[in-house]
Amino acid sequence: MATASAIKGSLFGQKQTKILTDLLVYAVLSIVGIIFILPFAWMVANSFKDIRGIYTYPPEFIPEVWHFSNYTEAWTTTYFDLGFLNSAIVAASVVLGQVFTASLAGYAFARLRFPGRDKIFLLYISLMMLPFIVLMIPLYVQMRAFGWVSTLQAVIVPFLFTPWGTFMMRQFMVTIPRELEDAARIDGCGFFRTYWLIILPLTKPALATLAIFTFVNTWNMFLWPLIILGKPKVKTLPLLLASLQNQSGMRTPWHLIMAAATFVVIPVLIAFIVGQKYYVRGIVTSGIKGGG
Amino acid sequence: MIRKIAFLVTVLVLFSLGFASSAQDMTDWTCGTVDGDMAGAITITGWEGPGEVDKFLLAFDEFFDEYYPNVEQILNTGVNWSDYWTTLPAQLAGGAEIDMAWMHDTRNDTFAANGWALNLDGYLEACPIPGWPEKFVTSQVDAFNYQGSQYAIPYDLAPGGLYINLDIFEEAGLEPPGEHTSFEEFTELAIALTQDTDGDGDTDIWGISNLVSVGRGAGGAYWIIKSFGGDLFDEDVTSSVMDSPETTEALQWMADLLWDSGAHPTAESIAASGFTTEFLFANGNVAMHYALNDAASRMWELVGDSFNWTVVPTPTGPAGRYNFIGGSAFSIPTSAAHPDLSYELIRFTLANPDHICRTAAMGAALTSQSEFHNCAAPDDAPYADAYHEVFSVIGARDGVHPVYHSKYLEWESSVWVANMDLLWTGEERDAATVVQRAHDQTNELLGG
Repeated sequence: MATASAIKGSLFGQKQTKILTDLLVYAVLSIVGIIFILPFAWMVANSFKDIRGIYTYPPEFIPEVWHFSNYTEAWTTTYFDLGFLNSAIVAASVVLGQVFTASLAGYAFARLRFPGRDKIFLLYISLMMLPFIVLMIPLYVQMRAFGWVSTLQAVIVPFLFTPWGTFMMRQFMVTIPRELEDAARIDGCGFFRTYWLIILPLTKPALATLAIFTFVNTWNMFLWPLIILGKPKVKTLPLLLASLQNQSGMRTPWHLIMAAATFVVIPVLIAFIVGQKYYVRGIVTSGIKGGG
Repeated sequence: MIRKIAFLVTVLVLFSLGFASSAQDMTDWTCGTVDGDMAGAITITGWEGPGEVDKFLLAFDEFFDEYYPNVEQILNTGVNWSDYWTTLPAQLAGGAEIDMAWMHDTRNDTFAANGWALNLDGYLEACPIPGWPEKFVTSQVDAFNYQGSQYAIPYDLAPGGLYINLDIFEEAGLEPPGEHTSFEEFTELAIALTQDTDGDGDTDIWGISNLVSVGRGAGGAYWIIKSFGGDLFDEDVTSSVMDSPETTEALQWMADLLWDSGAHPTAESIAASGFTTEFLFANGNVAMHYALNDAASRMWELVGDSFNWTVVPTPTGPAGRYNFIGGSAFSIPTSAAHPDLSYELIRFTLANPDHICRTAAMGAALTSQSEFHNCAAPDDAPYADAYHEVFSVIGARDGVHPVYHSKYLEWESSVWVANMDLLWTGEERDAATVVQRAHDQTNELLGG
């Protein structure tokens, strides 16, 4: 009886310790979460203030008067409707293109046997080490030669191929049992049909990871569009957002910028919420946070 | 018969007169090298956004409507200042067909030396700009001249001055500084105005702000260095003269405002407030704020009715009175597809008296032609009179800026900012040590 009571007490103690540990872990995670969410919350709060409200000292988190009109004003200040369309076209095209080319290349590097395969793979992924800034001017010259300056294809085509995505897809594909491919071959599938009917469906998690990373990176892409997209009507959202900083002379309209930043970030937020687990898996699989 | 002949002659004379007068209009603002029926697009790029650029866009529209109705304007303006100077060189190096580009005096020589900006001497000779150069402010004409050639036509000038919170002065029983205030008197004023109003040990009102700023280029300190009798480079820009006692004294004076008297907010205290110094002034936390003329319209909006304010000239040093002056211009890239048309557009925009006053009023800008300076501040602005005196008269008269040579940008970031930030962040308090290092590095750069 005494032993049972001691075991019960010990279990109770263990349970208590676990509850306390959990509480502590959750408390720490909550604090970290709040720290991370605070800038975002601050952006949303400021999107409802007027310009003087933003500069009130000491700062006030909750607006005294809610200025919902900031959103309509920000939307109509520049070509945000076209900006959304442009960003959507660019992001969708690049995501589809990268998913297709990276999976195809990943399959080739993972499964096909051809002379110099590993050397070519190494050479290809070594391109990840090239900073974009060194490619900028040659790429501009190339786009100019194609007559693509200030067109959306100039921000789509150069990004349809990705060493990082290829690397990630290859790493995923080498883990797929060869027996599945052998079975497909016996059933008469060629390389492409095997890739299309067997490999692609099995790599959905990796494809989703790649798609989410690519979408976020492309949606937020700034430097290259800034250089190549000169005409206002082809500009993507980050460019329009940046141009708001120079509105109204040198008086930066932070309230409008915050409102615009809030509606610009919504698609990225949705993409992240929907594909959160793939996003985390992508970091774990490749050891890289984003690529491009 | 005679009547018929007389009628025909009259018609011909009237027709000729009409033709001559329209031809006169054309020759006023075109140079005769571009076909009036020209069709195509002209690409224009600049950092100024709608509020500032609109004043020029009106002139652009008038020009094209009148002379080249088939030409489309492609405007890529409102690019952030820092982004602009990243993208423009990349675009020009890539051969971008940009026809007209906003240019800043700090960048002119670099662009000219790299062959990115067109030498405008031939245009100025063949089709002179009315009033050029005698009606333009000399310092601004010179600022865009590289090795004796003009590479851009200035559109404004921006002198520095002091924005004064008159209420703080009144409460302290002190008079604002003036043109003849010495640096010693100015320091005493700044110290006397610095207050810890709630007694918690932290400064609540600073005497002076924005004279010193982490990351700021040499232009912000140059007028002080000149006032103390110092300089940065020798006349030929072949070596540094920064190690002079005068330059060191000027920089030590600036550092002492931060670290000795505490009359100027440090970068740390500005960051802790969560504001820029401009907003600290607008919030009543600063008695004297250093800024350029273009801050006036912002101050009017920001301060509102919170307190009375005005502008006064910066102090006079032992070597005389100087203030910073900067400015921007329009340039034509060498890769422009339609340089002749760009030149006509620049000429029309900056010299047509019909709209220069409007341009000045819309941006609270001092135009590069001094006869239109009175247009810069609206008459109903409470600061209008002081503005004209401080910026148009004294500011334009005493304006100086560093020599913007072709290695200036490299020097400014790698030598000036890298060393001076040690003083402004408090990592180093002795100006002589910093100046010596900057002097050696400058000589290394200029000699290399």
